[in-house]
Amino acid sequence: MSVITWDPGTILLLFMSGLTRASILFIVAAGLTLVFGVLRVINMAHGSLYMVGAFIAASVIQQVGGAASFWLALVAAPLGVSVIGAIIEFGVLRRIYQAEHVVQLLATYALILIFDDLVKMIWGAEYKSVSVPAAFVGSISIGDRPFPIYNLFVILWALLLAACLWLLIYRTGLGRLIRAAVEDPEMLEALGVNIPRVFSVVFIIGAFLAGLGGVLVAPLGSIGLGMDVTILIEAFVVAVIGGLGSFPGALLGAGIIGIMFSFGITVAPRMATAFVFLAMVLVLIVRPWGLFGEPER
Amino acid sequence: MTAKRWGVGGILALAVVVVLAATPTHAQNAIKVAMINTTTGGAALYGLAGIEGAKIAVAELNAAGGLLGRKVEMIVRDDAAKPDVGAREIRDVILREEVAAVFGPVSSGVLLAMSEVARENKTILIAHTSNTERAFVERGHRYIFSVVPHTFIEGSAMGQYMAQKPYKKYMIIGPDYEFGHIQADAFERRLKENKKDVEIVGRVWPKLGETDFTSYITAIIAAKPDAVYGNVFGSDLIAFTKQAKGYDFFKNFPFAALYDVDTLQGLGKDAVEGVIGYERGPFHVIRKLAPSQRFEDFITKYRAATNKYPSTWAINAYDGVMAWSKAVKKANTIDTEKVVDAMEGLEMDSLRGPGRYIRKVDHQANVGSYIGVVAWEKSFPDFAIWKDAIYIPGDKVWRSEAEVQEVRAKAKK
Amino acid sequence: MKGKSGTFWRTGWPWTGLVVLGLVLYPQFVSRYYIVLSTEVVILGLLATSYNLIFGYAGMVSFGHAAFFGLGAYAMAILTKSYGSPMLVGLLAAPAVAAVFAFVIGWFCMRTIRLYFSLLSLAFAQLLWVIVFQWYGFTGGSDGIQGVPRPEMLNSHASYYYFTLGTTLVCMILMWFIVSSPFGWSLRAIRENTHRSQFLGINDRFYKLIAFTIAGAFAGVAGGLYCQFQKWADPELLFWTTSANPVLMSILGGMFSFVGPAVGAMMFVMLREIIKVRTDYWPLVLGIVLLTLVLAVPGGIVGFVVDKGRTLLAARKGEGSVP
Repeated sequence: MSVITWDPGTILLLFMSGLTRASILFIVAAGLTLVFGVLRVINMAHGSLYMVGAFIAASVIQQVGGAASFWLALVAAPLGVSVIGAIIEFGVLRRIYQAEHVVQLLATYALILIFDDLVKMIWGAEYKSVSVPAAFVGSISIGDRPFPIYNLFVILWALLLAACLWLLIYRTGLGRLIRAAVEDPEMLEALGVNIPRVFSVVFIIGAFLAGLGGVLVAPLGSIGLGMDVTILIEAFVVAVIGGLGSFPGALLGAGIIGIMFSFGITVAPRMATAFVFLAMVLVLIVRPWGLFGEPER
Repeated sequence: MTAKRWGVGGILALAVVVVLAATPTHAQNAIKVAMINTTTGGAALYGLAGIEGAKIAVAELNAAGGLLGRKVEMIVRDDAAKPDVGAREIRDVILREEVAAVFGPVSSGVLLAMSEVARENKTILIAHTSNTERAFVERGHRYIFSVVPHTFIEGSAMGQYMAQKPYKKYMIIGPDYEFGHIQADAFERRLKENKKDVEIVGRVWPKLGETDFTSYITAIIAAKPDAVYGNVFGSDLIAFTKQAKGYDFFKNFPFAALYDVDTLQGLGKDAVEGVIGYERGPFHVIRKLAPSQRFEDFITKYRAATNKYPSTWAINAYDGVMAWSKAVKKANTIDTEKVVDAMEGLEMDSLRGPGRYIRKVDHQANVGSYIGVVAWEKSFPDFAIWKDAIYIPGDKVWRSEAEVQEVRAKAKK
Repeated sequence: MKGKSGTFWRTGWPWTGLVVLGLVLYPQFVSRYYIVLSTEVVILGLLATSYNLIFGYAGMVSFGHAAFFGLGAYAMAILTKSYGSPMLVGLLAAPAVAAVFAFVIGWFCMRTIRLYFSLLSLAFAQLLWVIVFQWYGFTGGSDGIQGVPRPEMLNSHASYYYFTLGTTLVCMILMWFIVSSPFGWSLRAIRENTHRSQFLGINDRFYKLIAFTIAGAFAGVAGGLYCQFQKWADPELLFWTTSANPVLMSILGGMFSFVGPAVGAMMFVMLREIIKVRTDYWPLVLGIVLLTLVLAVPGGIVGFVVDKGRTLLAARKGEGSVP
């Protein structure tokens, strides 16, 4: 434990750092929870898609170089991951929509194993490092403390994405279908909706989000094998706490976990991660379908 | 029911046959050694360097006619920085491949696990990267050797160095595992011995392989120390440096960490000038302090193979293989017991310079710590190196033989 | 079960005896490498069988079974290394510790169903993993506990193999009696149709809790044995990816027979050894195998196995012996 001076500047700084982490968590968890809500599948390979996104970004930035490379990666990685997502959806998921959850978990777990080694084969085992894009280097004063500009960029992106997703879910036809699928899948079928197409679209959106998360996180830290497992567990916790299938749940859950972690590390570093899982356990015991979720039919 | 039983039995029989048939064939009469290192994960940076360095050594041995007239073959395995994987791999290479010696790993946690297996099966294990002192002192045994400065040497050297600075309040950040803790302990001990009014205001332990240091950075900023000492390394240090820059961390806090050649090459333009770096064999310093043609040849070979400059992990791995082969030549056999006897007291032909001998009490080579300040230099446009570099030899800071015995006796209780 | 001579020879017992005999004699003929490998297979077989108590027999899909395995290992490690207890004390403490945790966790898990049960078991296991991983002072943190002492007489590869084999056989016999008892049959009934079994007066939550605790206890034994085998304990043993292995093994070998998971364990290890010799990309191969297994079977593995299970049960009823 360390000696902290709890002045408003410190608290604000910790809060903003927590928001940064929460932003990435939200982007990834939103995809995971959306896919579950509509397709009723827990895609364990979601973290792998995020990892692939980060690696693609690293390759693009290293090969192309220069100031524009990050923006190129920002487009290329999510698109690339979306394509991979489409392949997975078509090749694997279609066959197991009706199967038991354990089968889905095993199948997507198999995908994790496969992706891990494929990434290793293509990109090698070393960790990659990507610099913060030139446009965002440096810090900005928040309160009276320096805060990285890039982190602010990430937070803004997450907010933008949240707004877009909100519009999508609550203001479009597709969004209506999504909400209907989450609340009452049987009704959807009865109404003659082209379910396979809706599923594909939603899964691709989920993959896109995972890839986007991967790109955004790339300049923040190291890119390497194993980041899929780490983010998966965290996104899982967020999705469960917020409620599987719930978009506002993912937002709130990410915020809670991100900020809790940020303060937790400062106050009780050893316990911080434990708190996160404790929260998941408590939610599952008291209200399994999460803060905003619906009990599974 | 009987059909099912036969089916199961049939599969079993087939499987047994396949497994037995799957034993690979090797070049006859080759001497096998194993390099068990980390090739995946954050520590892969170091593991891969070690493997390359060892490969160069093996190639040189074979080019000179092999060892005792036999070709040397190196088996490479990944330990994923996990003790259970490392232990399984070393057991595999010892029992199935029957190697004469094992080199590696990166993680001190893995080293301890592997060391148990080496002891159990009486096989030589030479550590060239992982360096927890406990593996050689408290848990040392006849078959383990170290050609890398262990945590006590490294931490104490830094403790001595930093004691000359005016800083009073320190914050320590280290990876939450064996190496992080033990090395930081050594640093703290020597620092406090040499500077009486020093205070450690806090310690943070991100996990090994952490990619997001933001919370730790803000925790340090909140604690307002005079200086920060870190033994975070490799990809973790790269991530930390990048993230901390955004918080103007290095403008406000003097910082000392394992800024070795691999890390600096990985950071590239993101390196921060003015931070203190320490490591175990920076080529740019060795070139100045102990130049030799042999060393330059090694650098050339390494660059040809990897397009990078060799880090200490590669240099140490090379030294380890060469030390073992020198002992084998001296003993004129690969019989473990005789080679062990030959290695004790051996004067290594180390790339790092003369005077590196392996002492008997803890099988530790007299290798020390290099310390410098990170700075850009014209001759290296792609990555930063050091200036004002010094070398503190191992025998200036390590425990005396009596102290080693004392620590061992205490551990046995 | 051991009835007239005719029916005896048609039960599983002679085959079992043969297999056991094989397991006992075979180390005499192979190198120490295979002895060590077999020790691992035996321990994993015990773990998989313990898992199947709740998976195959009671229909509970737990994703946190590795926690009990790991806790057993740590109990053994801490007791023998830090407190100097004899190994047998550790071997008794391991299942005890695991059972206590299994009971507490199980009590909470019984209130949830299906997916949420799986998630909660996973969450608890991860919580325990984090605690073990972070508690550097007590559990050695991410380094684990090394240098666990093994009693002198068990110090050779062969002697430890026989000890493991003996202990495992005792556990298997105990588990066999449990699943063959009325309790075991109640579990099957609960798995097939929870509501109907409730109408029959079976307190399904209580039975499942008992099964969960027993399964946890045997996983703890496996953990204790594994700890002595490796001579250390590390947090990875409790991580969720370790929990996936017994699930895999049960499905590979067949979750509706008693020996299925143990066979699955053997197949898993053999596959691993064969593949690792040829390539570094063992996870890739495992993933492909698993994926093929899951996809290629129509209706999914569980459906396929349920069908086969039903056919087998019907056939056995005809033959008059106990599955």
